[in-house]
Formats: sequence, structure tokens, C-alpha cells
Amino acid sequence: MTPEEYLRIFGEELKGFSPEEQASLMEEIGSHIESHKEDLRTVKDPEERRNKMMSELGSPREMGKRFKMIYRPDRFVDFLFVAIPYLLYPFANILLQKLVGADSVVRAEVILYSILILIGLWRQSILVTVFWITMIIGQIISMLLVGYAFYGSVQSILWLAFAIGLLFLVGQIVWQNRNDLLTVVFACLPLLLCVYGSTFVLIQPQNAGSLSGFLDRFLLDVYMKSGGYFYYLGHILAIALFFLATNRDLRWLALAMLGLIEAASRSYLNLSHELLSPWVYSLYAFIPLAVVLLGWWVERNKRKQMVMAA
Amino acid sequence: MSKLQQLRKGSTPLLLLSILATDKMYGYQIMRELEKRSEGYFTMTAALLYPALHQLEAEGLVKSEWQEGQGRRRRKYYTITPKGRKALTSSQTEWETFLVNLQKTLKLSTNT
Repeated sequence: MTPEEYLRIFGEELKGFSPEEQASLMEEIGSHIESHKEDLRTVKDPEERRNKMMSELGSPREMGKRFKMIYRPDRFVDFLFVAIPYLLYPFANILLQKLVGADSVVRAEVILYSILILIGLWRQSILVTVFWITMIIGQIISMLLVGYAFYGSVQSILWLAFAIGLLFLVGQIVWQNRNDLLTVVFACLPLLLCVYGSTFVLIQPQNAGSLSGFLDRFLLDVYMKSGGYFYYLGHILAIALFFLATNRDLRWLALAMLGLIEAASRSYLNLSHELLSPWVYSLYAFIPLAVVLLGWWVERNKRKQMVMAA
Repeated sequence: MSKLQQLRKGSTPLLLLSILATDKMYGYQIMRELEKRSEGYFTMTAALLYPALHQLEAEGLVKSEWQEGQGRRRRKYYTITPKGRKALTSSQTEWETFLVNLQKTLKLSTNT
């Protein structure tokens, strides 16, 4: 095996890493090989020189696996902290209604989600933390928009302060992981949908809420016929793919699926009384796809540059 | 993996921290220094060394920084942190106690 082949195999093992992580690891091992080469200049036989170097390098696959164990903590466990509460949600909702009454369900849910955020922070899992923060922020915003009068001004201000604190935490996580575009898009996509979705509803023409568009009717049809399961199961399937896939392109695909499912379903769940007009709706559904595609393209280019540099 | 290999693997963090306790070094330099100090007894492949260094860094026991080389690739230098020094001292004590007791037990078994 030549040093170039060694680096190529090592690079293959790092496919699940972000381009920056890959570049840094490849550069470090490349630098090691160069130091080794300099040191072996006194050995005249090139074959002997190469054999000595290769035996001291060890297996590139083994090295890649060890790095994965350090930097890729068990995403399966993280997935369980997202999937199990998510799958139990309908049952938990019924139980909470019986325990705390229908009026306090949302507040009880926010408290439960907060526990999951704490678990995410304790596990140092960006994905678990970010997932539940975005869920809570969505809940608080709809809670305040719909039930402002019910909660009163003091409680509303407290909820708002809590949501702002969580937004600050997401911002901090995004900033710390700004080199990992996949994580950044995962963290920002639901918030983005929430912000521009609400804006679209507010700014679209007042009489635009019709079901005249083919896309609008089709999506409503899918939602009604699936009894809401399209959103529920589609969401969990996309999340499973995002958390469990090791191939980075597949994870980008999962993110695109997630954006599409969110866009295709959420408006009918949260904005049922204010349907978007077909063209606004198309734009609403297209934006997440465009963001994911852009992120994937930027990362792909970075990866190419990294391979060229190595 | 033989028992001796397991023991060696278990001592990897201690060996790396003890080398970095003297000076900041880059990976290849650490590898050679380890070989030199142990007179060839301890050798480590790059496949074992670098993940071990990154593990120590993830635990906050060492920190790293890239430095430009003269006309060559950059090199990543590792430095022991105060937390790493503490861990080194406590590991050294543990290993010394272990070795003293092992020797005592072995002597007793050869004398009987």
C-alpha cells in the first residue's frame, strides 16, 4: 500500500464526518506521513522504506473506526431519546389531559420536553437538545398566539422569556457547530419554517385562503386520508434516517424529507383556519428543500476541495 | 488480544501524558520519543496513537494547536493541560501501587 492509498482508505472511513473534521484529520495523518518520510531518508531501499513506514502506520480502517468511536457517540441512543417520546406522544397527551386537564396540557408538554432538553445537554447530544428545543419553541409560540388571553400577561412574559432563552441556546449550539452544515441546517430548519410560515400567513392577501389549487387539495387529501399518520410516521422515518445513517449524503436526503414533510403537513395542523394560497403554499414547501439542497451543495464542494488539498 | 497487550493498551493514556508532561510535541515526535524512552519496548502505530491523543483531548487532558512548519505541512502540537497533569499524577500513583503489589505477590509465589 502506498501513502496515497493509505490516505484514500482512511478518508473513506471518515465519510460520516463533516468536511472540516475530515480535512483536519487527513491533514494530521498526512503531516505524520511526511515526517516519517523525512526520517526514513537514510534508508536507501525504497521498498524497505515503504514497508517500515506502512507497518508503523497501522491499519487505516482501524484508525478510522477508532476516530468514529470518539467523535460519533452512539446516535442510536440519541435517536431513542427522540423517537420514544415522539411515538408515545398521542398516549401521553391523552394521559396528560386526564391528569392536568385539557387547558394545561401544553404547559405540561413544555415541561416534559424541557426534561428531554436537559437529557440532551447531559448527554452532550446536539441533535437531541436541538430537536426538543425547536419543538418547545414551536409549542410556546403557538401557545402564546392562540392562548395569550388565557395565560395572562405575567405568564405569557415568562413563557416568552423562556422561549428567548432557548433560542439563545440554539444560537450558541449553531455557532459552536458552524462548520458542520448538516447540524446547522437541522437546527435551523424548523425555526425557519415557523418564522416564514407565520410571516406568509400574516402577509398574504386576506381572501387567499381557498382550496382551488391542485397542490393544496392534494396535500389536504393526503393528510385527511392518512388520518394524520402521514406527518406522524413520515416525520419519525425521516428522523430515523437522519440519526442512524452513516452516509452523509443520505443524512442530507433525510433532512430534505423532513423539511418536505414538515412543510406539507404542519400548515394543515397549525394553520388550519388560515390556509395558504396555492402559490404561497408551494413557496412554503419549496424553501426547506432549497435550503437543504444549498447546504448539501456547499458541503459537497468543500469535500471536493478537501480531497484535492489532501 | 493477549493479557500483556491489554495491559499495554490500558497504559496508553499514562504513557502519552508522561511524554507530554516534558514538552509539547506533534504525533510523530511522540511516537519516536516513546520508543526512545522505553528503549523500543513500547511501540505504537499511528492508528492507535492519533485516536488516543484525540480521546485525551476530548477528555480535556491535552490540548492541541496547529503550527506552521518551515516549507512543509503544518503540524499539530499537543500540550498537557493542568487537568492532564492531575490525571497523570493520580495514574502514576495507581500504577506504582499496582506494580509494587504485583512484585510482592510474585516474589512470595517464587519463594514458596
